[in-house]
Amino acid sequence: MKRKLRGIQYILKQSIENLARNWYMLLASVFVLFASLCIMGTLGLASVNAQHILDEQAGRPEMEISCFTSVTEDAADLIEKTILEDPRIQSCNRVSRAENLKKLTDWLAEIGMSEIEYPTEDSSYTRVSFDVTLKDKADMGQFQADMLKVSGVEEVESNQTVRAYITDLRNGVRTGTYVSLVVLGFLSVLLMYNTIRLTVFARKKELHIMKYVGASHSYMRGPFVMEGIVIGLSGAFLAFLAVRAAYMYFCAYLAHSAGPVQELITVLPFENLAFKLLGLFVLGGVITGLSASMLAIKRYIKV
Amino acid sequence: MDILKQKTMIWFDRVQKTYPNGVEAIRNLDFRIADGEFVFLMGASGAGKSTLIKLLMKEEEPSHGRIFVNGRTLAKIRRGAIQKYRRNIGVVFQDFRLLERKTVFENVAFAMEILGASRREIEERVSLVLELMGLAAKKDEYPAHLSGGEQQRVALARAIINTPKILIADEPTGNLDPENAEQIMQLLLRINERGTTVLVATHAQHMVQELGKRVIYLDHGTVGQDGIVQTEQETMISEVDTDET
Ligand SMILES: Nc1ncnc2c1ncn2[C@@H]1O[C@H](COP(=O)(O)OP(=O)(O)OP(=O)(O)O)[C@@H](O)[C@H]1O
Ligand SMILES: [Mg+2]
Repeated sequence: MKRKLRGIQYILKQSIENLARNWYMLLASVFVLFASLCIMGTLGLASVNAQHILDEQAGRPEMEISCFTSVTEDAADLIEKTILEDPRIQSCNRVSRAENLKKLTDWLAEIGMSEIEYPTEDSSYTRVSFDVTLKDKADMGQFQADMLKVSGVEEVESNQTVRAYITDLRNGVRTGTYVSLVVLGFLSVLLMYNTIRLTVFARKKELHIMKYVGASHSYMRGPFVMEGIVIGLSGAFLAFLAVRAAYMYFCAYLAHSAGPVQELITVLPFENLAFKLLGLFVLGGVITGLSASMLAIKRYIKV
Repeated sequence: MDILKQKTMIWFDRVQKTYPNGVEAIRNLDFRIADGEFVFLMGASGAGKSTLIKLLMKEEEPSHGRIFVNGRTLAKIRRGAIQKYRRNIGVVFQDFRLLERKTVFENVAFAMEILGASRREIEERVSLVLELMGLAAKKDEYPAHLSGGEQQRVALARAIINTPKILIADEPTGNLDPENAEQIMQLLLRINERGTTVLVATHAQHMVQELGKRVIYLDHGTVGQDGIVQTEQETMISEVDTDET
């Protein structure tokens, strides 16, 4: 037991010495891993958010007909009648002012901006709308144009094009994530491998003596495995902090810039993703570090 | 000393070693060394002395034949157990192989540290062995400040610190002047007297003759002559039968 403890102590001491020995290579490999994880993390987060937007859109009606805020619930009855009489529709669901207001406040809460002051008591601020589904999507354009002519209708929104666009975006970002995983992963392993290889070279003589004296494999390899893990973890934590800062900044930026874009891009709050992201980064860092040290050890520490 | 009555420590059973490049370094090599024996390994450059030592250390595997050490077949030692096996063998080389950035004491202690010995054990044993090697006064010196002979004595101290059963020396006096070489030989003899089996590869003909120990003479990878050299005439007068134990 004591022997084991001293062994761990020895391995830790040696790995610290290893790390100090080639500090410039160490910095380079931490940096490359850091940059790789940042790129992959950003792409990954973008893809998760794109998916989130898609999911949200999927839950929404394919077409939303909104009345002017001046149109009262009573006046809206007439518009509803017009819509229901149209033979092209499959279903029509009326959404009252109060419901629309609730949706808005819920949405604000979800994106973490509930502190924004909306005149929540005054439902005249919102409007009546209709969620419409058509029998045939091909009628979309014509139906949209027809509805705009109905008096009291302010806008007719269809999310079809937006969904197609976001789907493309998500697919692109996903592909990018996978490609960068391979390319950047390879780069990171390569650089770390070289770093650890240098340390192995610097310790060649000691390793040689250790071999002849009969030091156990863990004594010989432990410090290099630790070196890989430390590099991996440092890269992972730094990348996590950087991505976190960038994400927070982006969220804050969105919150302060009102407009149609903001309405579409609903960004998931970072807290929801933090744990997963950190977990993946740590896993990625450790796997990269381990593979790099295993490769170097296998190649250069012969027993 | 009747070695036939003693336990066999090392047994090369018709060993052959061909390197991947086709060089046949060891051919049909067959000999036994008893527990506690002192044996010189001689032969021209390229005769296969270092290869024999590498086979013994299980750094290289024989192409044919078997090697037994202390009753164990080396071929049966698993990869994970090689290092444990090597603890039975101490080894010194012509070029000392000391760590420049460690003191004499630390160099020797290193061999105990990496086996997980405690500070106190290390302190005690290293001091004792340095004393034995006549290095007590040099314990805090760095290798660069030592003579060749002293450096080799540090290497010897390191080789025996974990009390191996076998001590192997590959041309230990190759880099030393006669006086220092003589001193190293005397130390090797003393280590042998304490019960360690000692195998010394060397080119130092005159020293071998003086000591009157068993000599295995390698000739192109096989045993040319095996016996005790006693006179200046370089003749083998008493052949040792190594075929039976
Ligand atoms: N790793 C190797 N790969 C290929 N051939 C080798 C290797 N090591 C040694 N040899 C060859 O095997 C033969 C025996 O070499 P070895 O080193 O065992 O001789 P030696 O008796 O120790 O010589 P010396 O007295 O010069 O040290 C030589 O021909 C050498 O070139
Ligand atoms: Mg040699």
